[in-house]
Amino acid sequence: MNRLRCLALAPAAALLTATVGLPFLILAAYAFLSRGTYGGVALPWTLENWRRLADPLYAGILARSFLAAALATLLCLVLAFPLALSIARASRWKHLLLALVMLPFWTSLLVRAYAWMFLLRDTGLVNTLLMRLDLISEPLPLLYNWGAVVLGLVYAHLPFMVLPLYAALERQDPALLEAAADLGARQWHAFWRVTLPLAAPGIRAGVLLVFIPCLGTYLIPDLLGGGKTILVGTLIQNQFTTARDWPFGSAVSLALMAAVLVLLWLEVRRRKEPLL
Amino acid sequence: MKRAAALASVALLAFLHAPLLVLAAFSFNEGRFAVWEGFSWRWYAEAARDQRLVEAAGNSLWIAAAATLISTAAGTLCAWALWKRQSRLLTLGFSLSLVTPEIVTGVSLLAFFQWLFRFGGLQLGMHTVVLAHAGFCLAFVVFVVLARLRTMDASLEEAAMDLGATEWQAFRRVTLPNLAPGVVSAALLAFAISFDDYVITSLVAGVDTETLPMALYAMARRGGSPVVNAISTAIVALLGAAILAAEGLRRKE
Amino acid sequence: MSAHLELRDLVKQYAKHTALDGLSLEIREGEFFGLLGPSGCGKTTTLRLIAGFEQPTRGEILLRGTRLDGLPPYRRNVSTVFQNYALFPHLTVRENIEFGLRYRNGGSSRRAVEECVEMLALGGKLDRYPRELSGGEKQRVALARSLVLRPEVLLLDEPLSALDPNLRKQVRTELRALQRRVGITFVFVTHDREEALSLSDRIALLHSGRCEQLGAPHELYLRPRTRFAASFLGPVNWIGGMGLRPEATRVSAQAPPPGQPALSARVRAALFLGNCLQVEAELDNGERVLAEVSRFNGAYQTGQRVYISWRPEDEIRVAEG
Repeated sequence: MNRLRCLALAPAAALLTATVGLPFLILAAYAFLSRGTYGGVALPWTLENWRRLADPLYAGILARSFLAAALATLLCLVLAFPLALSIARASRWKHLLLALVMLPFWTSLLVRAYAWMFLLRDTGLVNTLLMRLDLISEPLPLLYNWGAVVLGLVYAHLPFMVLPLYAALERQDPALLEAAADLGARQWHAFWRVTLPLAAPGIRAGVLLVFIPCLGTYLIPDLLGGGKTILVGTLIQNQFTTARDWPFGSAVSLALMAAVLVLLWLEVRRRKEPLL
Repeated sequence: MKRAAALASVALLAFLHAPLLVLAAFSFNEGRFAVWEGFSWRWYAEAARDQRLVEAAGNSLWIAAAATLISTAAGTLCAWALWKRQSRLLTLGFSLSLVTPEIVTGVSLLAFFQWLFRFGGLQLGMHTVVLAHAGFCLAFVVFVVLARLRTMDASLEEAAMDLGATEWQAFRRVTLPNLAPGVVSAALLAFAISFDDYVITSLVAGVDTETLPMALYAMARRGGSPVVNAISTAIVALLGAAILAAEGLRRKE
Repeated sequence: MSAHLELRDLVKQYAKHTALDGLSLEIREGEFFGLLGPSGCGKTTTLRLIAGFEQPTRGEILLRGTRLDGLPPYRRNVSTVFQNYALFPHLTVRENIEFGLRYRNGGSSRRAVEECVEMLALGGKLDRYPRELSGGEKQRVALARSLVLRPEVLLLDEPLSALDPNLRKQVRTELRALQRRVGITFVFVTHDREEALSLSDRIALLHSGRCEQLGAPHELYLRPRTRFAASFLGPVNWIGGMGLRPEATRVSAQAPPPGQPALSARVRAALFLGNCLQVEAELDNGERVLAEVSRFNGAYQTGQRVYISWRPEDEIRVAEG
């Protein structure tokens, strides 16, 4: 019986080793090597790559990535809460509404980023419309800036926030609000003192589910920020392509992974059941 | 307060859907610019005439099909084995694979393949893309199939063995037929994820292989064109169909 | 009679607890054998060990003197009827019944199927799927699926628990008749004493992974050897270290004839239960007794002084205090 189980596990274990295990080991080794003359890596072993992370230039990029992810997460939370609450309290069509929230999430991230380019670029729909209406004479610089990047992040990750919030709010017994009202709480107070605290696990899960992918994002700042807004994802990509400094790129990657894992660990520690 | 929340929700749903709907509408625009000039299929026709795009689309389909096949087969067997007995190490590996930012997955695979090819004289190409895709689809397949298995009655397999079937026969004749909707749904999901990937693909594809998202990205970086609108709409339609089918199967029973 | 299925000193330990702690039993050929006990007593574990879904930590299982432990389930000539029946949802009734014949061919399989179908009255249901069947029909399919293989021993896990309560009494009778007709050894697990008493030829009462008492139903009920056995098989009044079933407890307004054991008491409550009266009385020493008496014996008022009496042969004497 046990042999069959091992046989069944073998292909997946091999695939996981080849695409996650070994690549991570290589990355971990590279992070302590020196840069080769023509790219690649060379001896000797060094801590130089890690020291460079403290360089104000790179530390600034890391800090900016945290800020951008935090801002996007906060906006997602503020926007998603009323939506999740309405769906949870809706009497009908809950599943349809949820599907409407999830559907764009499942369609290509690349296409969704491009859709915003189509709307926001100089010859895009918004600028064309405004110019036709003679509200502006020159196209507004809507694309390739921080605003566009944060907008893109919020747009792409909003479903991640709605889903756990909905799950937490849906479980709440509507009688709790009636009880609060019965005990004299006004609507706003009931929300503040009953609904919100009880939704805390959903909020934490949503914050994590949005913050982590935002932190490591590459495609959105690349397309909507147009290379002017360097975040940690772009930094890593640069080190492995144009800059050809693989050891430093590996160190940045590991630092990013470490941040992600610490955040996850903090949450997993709090709850009994696993996150996944 | 309730009405305000409802209004905000409608606005937010519009925010989620409008960009794609507008893009899809303008992919049928006769004119080149963001001004409606009439309905036309011309940009789709132009995309179909573009040899490079057709080849990229073919590559994407081929890669997605291969990666789906590999990850679904390996993932289903693995989920079955994990259903019977947990493995902390593997669960950790799959969780890690799910939370790793795409860019980190991409560069780690690039570094690994380059290191490997020093010894084998191999090069980056379709095969490395397929392997990478099969790798990151695997965790999705395992979790989807495992979720389905957990809703299944564990005594069915015991009953089959009780009636004389070996463990493998019990899997083939009892578990797999009941699991089929979950497996197909996982496969569709894997297909959608693989077909759509740009970040990892661009890093491990090498210089001679181009997929549809890579072509789309290159065109988008140059500012985009009505042809890009058409391809984008086609991709969304394809993936949307796959996801809806997967969701439909998942909800069955 | 020789042992058909023998369990020798079975021990089953899990990571955190011991399910079986040295269980030995001898089950005779052709008997309807009940494993009774509270949840966690090890009765289901015993069944799973015999079926081969789990392996004992120590001990032996012998079928006609041949070791069974160590063999996978598909190499044991025993078959299980699962608590929830575990019918294959993707197969029709006929395909479910024929499932095992592919692996275990007991000779004229076609005739065996027909026989089972007829015996269990499944004739009209052969092309249905399990989800289209009632609870009772599902159970009959599960029985047919196992019996068609002519196993040496049929194992039944809580055979009546998934059924509608109204149906249980009827199925109980049918199950008993079926076992007599096929003559196969049935071993079943239950936590319900009424089920165990009515179905079994013999009952093993399990407690904390051991056999507390083994015997015919009336022996267990009337002559329990331990306090646990006495209480598990039915309500008991404990009067000065001696046990008395409520239906053997007599209540009378007048003092019974001298020579019969009797105690004076005061009625605390008298409840009309339809088929009988339930009288709760307090003895002079403060002990409470419950008596089930015929409603033809008259009515009792709360506070009324009465006599509690019994026949000496109804006394239950247990080993420990």
